This record gives sequence, C-alpha cells and structure tokens, in this order.
Amino acid sequence: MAETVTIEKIYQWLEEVKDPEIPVLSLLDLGVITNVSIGDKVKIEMTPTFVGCPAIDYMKNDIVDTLKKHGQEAEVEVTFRKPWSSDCISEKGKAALKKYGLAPPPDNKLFTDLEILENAECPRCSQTNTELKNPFGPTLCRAIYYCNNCKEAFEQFKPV
Amino acid sequence: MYGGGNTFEGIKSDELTGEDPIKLAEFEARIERGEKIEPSDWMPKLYRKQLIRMIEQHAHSEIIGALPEGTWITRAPGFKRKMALMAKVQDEVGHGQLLYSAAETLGKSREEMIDDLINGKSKYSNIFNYPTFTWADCCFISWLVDAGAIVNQLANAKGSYGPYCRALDRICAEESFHLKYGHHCVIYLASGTQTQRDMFQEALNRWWPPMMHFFGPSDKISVHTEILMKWKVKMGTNDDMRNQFLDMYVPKIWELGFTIPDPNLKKNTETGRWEYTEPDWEEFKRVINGDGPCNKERLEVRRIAEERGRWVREALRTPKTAYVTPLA
Amino acid sequence: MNQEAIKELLYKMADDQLILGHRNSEWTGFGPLLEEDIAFSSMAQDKVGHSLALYTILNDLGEQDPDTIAFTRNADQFHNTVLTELPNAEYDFSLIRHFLYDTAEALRFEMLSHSSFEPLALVATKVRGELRYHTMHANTWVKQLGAATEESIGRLQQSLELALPYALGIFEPSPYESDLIKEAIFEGEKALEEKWKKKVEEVIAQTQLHLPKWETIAPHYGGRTGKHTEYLQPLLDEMSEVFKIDPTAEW
Repeated sequence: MAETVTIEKIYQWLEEVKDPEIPVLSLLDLGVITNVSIGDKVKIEMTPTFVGCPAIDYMKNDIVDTLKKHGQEAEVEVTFRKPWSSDCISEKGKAALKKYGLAPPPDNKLFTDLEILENAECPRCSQTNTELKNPFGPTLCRAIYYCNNCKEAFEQFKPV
Repeated sequence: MYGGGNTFEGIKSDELTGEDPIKLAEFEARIERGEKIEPSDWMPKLYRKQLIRMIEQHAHSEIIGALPEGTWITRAPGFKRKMALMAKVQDEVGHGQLLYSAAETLGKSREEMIDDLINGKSKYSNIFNYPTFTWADCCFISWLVDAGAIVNQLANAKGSYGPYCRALDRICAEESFHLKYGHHCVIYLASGTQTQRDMFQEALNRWWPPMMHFFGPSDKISVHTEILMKWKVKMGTNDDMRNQFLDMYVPKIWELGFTIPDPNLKKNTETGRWEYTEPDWEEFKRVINGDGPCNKERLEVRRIAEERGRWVREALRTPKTAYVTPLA
Repeated sequence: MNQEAIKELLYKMADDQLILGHRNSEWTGFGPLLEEDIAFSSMAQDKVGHSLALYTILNDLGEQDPDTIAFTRNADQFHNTVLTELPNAEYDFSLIRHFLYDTAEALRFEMLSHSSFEPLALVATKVRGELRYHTMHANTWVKQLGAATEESIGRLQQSLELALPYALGIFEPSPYESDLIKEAIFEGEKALEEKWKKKVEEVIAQTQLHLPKWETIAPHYGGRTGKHTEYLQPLLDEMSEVFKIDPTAEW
C-alpha cells in the first residue's frame, strides 16, 4: 500500500457512494456496509437490503470505482453474516429519506403486526392520518401509503 | 417511461373565458416566481384539464410500457438480467401507481382513467405499439427508450404542479438506475459474439424510427402550446427534447460500433443542432390513432386483465379487512 | 455433515423458489389491479433472489454455477414440488397457491434459521424477515376474498380444493429425513407439515372457506424426484430461450 490509509479514511470515502435509486442516501447511512478492513487490499463487507436486490452489483462496482478514485484497490464481499434490517439505517439516513419524500421505516422491533404498518408518518406533513395502500411498492424495499391530509400517495422505506 | 409530445391538443380560443382575471393573474404570478401549485389551490379549468391529460398519459405509458419488456422477464438470460428486468418492469408499474395517484389529486379517478385507456379515449406513448421480437429489442427499450423518457421527465420535474413534480423526482432517480442496467445489457451485446452484435443492430434498425417519433411531431407541425409552456405544464418543445436526446446518446451508440439507420443524421457544428431525415409523421399519426403493429394487442391485454380481475375488485368493495383498499 | 442430504434439501428449496418466482412474474402487467401486479412481481423478485442465494450455497458445495444450474437442466432434473409449476390460471388459484406455499416456506425458513449448517442458517435468517411480507399479503387477501362475495368465496373454495393435494406434495418424504434431523440441519418435512397444517387451519377459520379433512386429501408426490407435469418443460424452455442461443456468450 503506497500511502498509509486508515479505516477512518475509508469510511469517509464510502460516504460518497450513494444508493443507486435514492441519491440522497449513502451506503453507509443505508447500513449495508458491515465491515471494513485493511490488509494487502482494502476489504469491504456488505450485505443486501433484500436478498433479491438487483442493485447489489451496481453498489459493489460503485464502491470499487470510488475507492480506485482515491488510489485504493478494494475487494467487496457480499455476505449474510450480519443480515441487514431496516434498523440499520442511521438517524442521518432516516432524516435524509424524509427530506427526500420517502417515509423512513419505523423501529423494526415494534413491527409485529399490521397496526404499525397502518399509520406511517407522512414525510410531507408529518401526520399519521395515513393508510397503507400496498405493502409492495415500486422497489422491494418500499411500501405505498396514502396521506389523507395531503391527499397524496407517498412511499415508505419498509420495516424489515 | 413517457415521451410527451403527443400529449396536447390545440387549445380553443374560448377556453379561458369565464376564469376570474384576478385569480388567473395571481396564479400566473405564482408560477412565474417558481412556486408549486398544490391540489387544493385555485387553478384554471384548462390547467386542470391539460394536466390530467398529461399525467394520465404518463401513467398509461408506464403500465402499457411494462408489457413489451415484461414479456422478456420469463426469458431473460441469467439471474442477473432476470432480477434486474423484473425490478425494472415492476418499477414502471409502481410509477404508474404513483402517477395515477398524482392525477387523482386533480379530480379524476383511476377507474375512469383506466376506462378511458381501454376505450381508446386516452393515449399512451406511441413507442409501445411496436413489438419486441428479440432480447435485443428489450435491451433497446431498457436503454434508449428509458433515456428518452428521462430527458422528458427531468424537464417535466421542473414544472408547476407539486404532486406531479414530486412523483417525477423519485421516478427520475429510479430510471437513471434503469438506464445503467439498459446500457450494461447493450454493452454486453456490443462486446459479445457476432450473433449478439447482429441482434442489437437489427433491433436498432427496427426501433430508430419509433424512437424519433417518441418526442412527438416536429415543432413546425405541432399544435401551439405557448400557454402551457407559460404555465409550466409543458417544459420544452418536441424538437428541443429530441435534440437533447440525440446529443446525449448518438455518440454513445456510435462508440459501441453500431450504425444508426439514417444517412442524414449528423450534428451541425454551427447551430449545435442535429440534422436528420424528417420522421414519417403520417405513420406517427396512423399509429397513435390505433393502427400500429401492436395497438390492438396492448389494449386487449389491458382489457382482458381488467375483465378477469373484475370479481376481485368487486369483492374488495365489501369492506372486511383493514388495509386492502379498493382502487382501480 | 451429510453433504448429499444438504444438497437434496437445497436443491428442492431453490427449485421451488425459482419456478414459483417465474410463475409469479407472469402476473406482471396482468394483475386484477395494479397493486396486485406489483405485489406478485415483488414476490417473484424475492423468490428468484432466494433461489440464487441457495444455488450459490450449492455452488460453494461443489455444484455448478447458479446460471448453469438454473438455465440448463431439463424438467426431470428439477426437484421443485409440482404445486409451483402449475400454470397461474385465474387469480384465485394463484392466490391460493401463494397462500399455501408461502405459509410453508415462511415456516421452513424460520426453522432453518436455527440450522446447524451455518451458510443456510444465515440465508434463512435474512429470508424469513422478507417472507413476513409474503405471508402477510397472502393472509390478508385470503381473509378478504374468502369472506367477501359469493363469487369470490366460491372461486377460492374451488381453487383450495384443487391445490391442496399438490400443497401436501411440498412435504414429500425425503430419503435423508433422519440424517437431517440427527445432524440438526433441519427438523424435517413431517414436522414442517404439522406446523403448516395448524397455520392453514388458523387462517381458513377466519374465512367462509371450508377446509376438507386432511385424511381425505391424497398428497400429490413426485416433484422432489423429478416427476413433473407437462407444464414444467415448456416453462424451462421459455426461461432458457435466450440463454441457449449461445450458452458460452455473456449476456
């Protein structure tokens, strides 16, 4: 390794890699980066949000490309050792989602039945006068709600 | 995926009479200042009508657009492609759902919109009336039709109607991911075997004319839409959009070693505009009025799906459980 | 650990997921309402993803790569239960199949999340969370349509009776059953079947549907050993149509 690179530095660079479908959310805030280590190469471990996530290859490539830009060869391994849950999204990530118009997921531990899914908080008016329209949204990780206040549909990042 | 252009009819001279001139002036001043119009705000009838028409066409384009690519999900070669294509087509249907919901904020129900689609009163992007014969046709749509749609949608996202703009912001983010997927598919064909290269060249030859139609008739012959431009309903002229698309994608197509079936296609270095053989607008009109290769098939699929699903929708109207809401 | 036993288990699970995922994806664009279009294609995507994760474990155990396994075998080399290969037919059949199958699958992955075979336990832990949405979807719709109109109840009842023998085929006895149990890899088909019956009874009891006595239903076996209906080979031919244009090509 040419220059001394620290784990901290790597995390800083990873902040630049965004979710391919949600450009305001970094992979770190999404919580899919599960480990970073430095040996002969930089080694990144990540885990998919959903097993069938079609974006995982793109994320992998983005990580490799970004680190290459900073002069680091990186190897990315996808594993299920630390499975992702929606609780892995950071507070900063949740705030970014809301600002982007996607309701952040409620605490997953609370999600035992439909009741929790019923009253998601509308990302526009912050009220919970909402109803679940479809537990399956445009992407695997989102559900569709309707806000009775705004009279508008919105998407929620699902609790899993 | 939506190309616009074919959206608007001519506006009759009396369509603004009867509107309160003070409210109208306020409304126009707000748009001028870059404010968004929200569902409960005052708006001229013509604005509402044209917006419904546009968002509805966009929504229809998403769900009809899912069909030509959707038929390749079961045939996509390999896990990577299969999963990405599934996700992409599902995204399109999901966009349809969001867009119908945006149009509903203007007072037309999804049921009415779907009825109008099936009875031919309301249109969708012309390009989906062409068949996908091979995997390469499907890749053409995933890359280039999506690219065209993004050009159009990015412009529309800067429009004046709040719910539509918000939906478009998220749609554009997702479609840029589709675009990456489509581009990858084509790169693999381009760098693959001779069979693969030929497949894509043939698809390109078939799809180029409808792609040129995608942005709508040339400004020289299309109806006047100044007021819609002023109200930020329509955000650019058809020729501008087409030019922007050519500017971004013709070099990429050439870079991959494919030829575009138009000997006159070149960029005029002085004007910065692309020159091309004038598309056959008669064919465009013929297809949009129902006489394209797949119009009947596309609507028939929709009609049968609606017909076969009727008992489900009826059953949903008997309120039994909490969250399943009858929609269309 | 008994590799053959693990492989048999993985193959049948992965094949189930792939084939049912394929069938679910056929609803894309044809659903009775947009929400259902999206629901079925979401579940299709999940299932194909789950099959890939399982084929990947098989690959690590020395089997061929996932694309080759999935796209080049013939029907008699597939171990999916026959239930998954039957055509979609009308929405009522697809819904009932989804309910019967996913109830079993959610329980199976729940059980496997405690498996002594770690790679499978890791995948199962992840998958069971996703399957909550599948069973929630199935239960809600079966409860709603199973107690709504005369037509909806009648249709669901008919499809239920048609699907039940095939659904029991999910639990076709495995020659490795005792090995799997002994090594704490999987509690076995028999245990799964019992749990499944309870869950199915529980949901059906909340509808106006009638569940026949279990002992009157003759299970349709054969899928696990490659004996399939005439519907599977055409499905596979379609699935591999492009792939086989040139199996050495990269697509």
